[in-house]
Amino acid sequence: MSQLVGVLDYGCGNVRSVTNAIKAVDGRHMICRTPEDLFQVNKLILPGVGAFDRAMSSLKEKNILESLQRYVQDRNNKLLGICLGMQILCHASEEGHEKGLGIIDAEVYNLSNYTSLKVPHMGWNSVSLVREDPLLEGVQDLSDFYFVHSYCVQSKDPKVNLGLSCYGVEFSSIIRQDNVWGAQFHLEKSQKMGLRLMKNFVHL
Amino acid sequence: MIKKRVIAVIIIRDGRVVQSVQFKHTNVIHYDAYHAVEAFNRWSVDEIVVLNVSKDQSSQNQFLEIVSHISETCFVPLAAGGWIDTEEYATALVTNGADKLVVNTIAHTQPELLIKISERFGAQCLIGSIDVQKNAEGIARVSVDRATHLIDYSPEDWAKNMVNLGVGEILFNSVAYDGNRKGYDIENLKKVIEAVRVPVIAFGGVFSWEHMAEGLRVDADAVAAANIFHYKEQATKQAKYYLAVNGFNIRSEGQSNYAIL
Repeated sequence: MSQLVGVLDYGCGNVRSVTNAIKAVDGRHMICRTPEDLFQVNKLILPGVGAFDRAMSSLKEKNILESLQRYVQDRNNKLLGICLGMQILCHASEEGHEKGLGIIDAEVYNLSNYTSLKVPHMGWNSVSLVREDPLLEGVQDLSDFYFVHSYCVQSKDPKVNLGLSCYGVEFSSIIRQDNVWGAQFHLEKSQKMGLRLMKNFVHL
Repeated sequence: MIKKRVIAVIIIRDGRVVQSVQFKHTNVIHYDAYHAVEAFNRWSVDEIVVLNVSKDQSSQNQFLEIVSHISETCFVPLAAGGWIDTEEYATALVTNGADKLVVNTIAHTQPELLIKISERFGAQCLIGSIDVQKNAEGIARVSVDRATHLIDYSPEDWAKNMVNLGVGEILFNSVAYDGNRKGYDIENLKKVIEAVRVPVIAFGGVFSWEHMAEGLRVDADAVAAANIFHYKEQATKQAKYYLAVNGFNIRSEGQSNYAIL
């Protein structure tokens, strides 16, 4: 029986690309749209493209915010945030006024304030793996992944970081706290290494 | 460090992959874009752009189905363009698997629509395509509507205008160079790169990997080609290898193969 993974569709993510990648690694997916849906799965992906405040208010409007908090309180449940989906796991962002989910002990900063390079950071960039983790099984250190973002995550707690990347400034590109993971890049669009990460999450 | 990207462009007319020579699309290369995408994916391409150059708007739905189908096997960013003339169609392309949208003519005919689409999906989702053509006086101008209609803008001013309207990237092509095997229109490409702060993709005219190196030397962020990639085995991989050994910072998948999955 292949593994079932929920993909949260809250109007702020590239759901199709994520479900295509789950299929490619022999997983099954369920699109989750309601608070109840979250409790049908014990692996959930939170995609995200767009603005921080819009994502948070969309979660609130759909009454998913609280359920998501409850979902992660059960340590048997696993959550993976991708791109903006990773950023909203943090306490707050320089991008918006809304508070984040606060699940991961980190903040989100505006890249433009820390680099003179072109923003968004768009393209393939390497990830330095700084900690061992089941999610990283078979992933080569310094592999390239596909990034598109204008804000970046940094944590005061170095234990949160699984992977670090640099674009004028060093930032967290893969994070983990307990049963919650986040990737700043689009693993669903990062070819073999991205699919390997997806496979690892699907089979965690 | 961020890598220079190698992008494969797939030109589609009435559902079939065609060759483009100075914007004329007569020669059918593949019957099915799906197989082209599968091959490019295997050959470590960094990004794929599919363009619908059909003459009729009625091609929209067929193209949408193609995008949906190829997205299943495309694990690099997929950009889609051609005949994007409403917010609904733009949205349909995104929900059917396009990660980015390529816009061209609406920047001229419906700038407010471009702004709206950009507000909805973000500038990072929009590639502004610019086709350069000389006017009767031999001055470089921009041509819209599949290069059938010259407008009185220099390529660099039009690039700035598109960025102001909300595109996050520029796809540069030049009609006389398109499919002409002489390399990119470097002179105008350089002007556009210097005019904007967003990534610029060089396109049109590649017949050797050295042509791609020429684009990177004038600081293009990405180099694209279409026809040549269809005619060589392992084409995108070969291109990347050539660029890497010539000192450019290119993504390599090392020894990886599907066995690691």
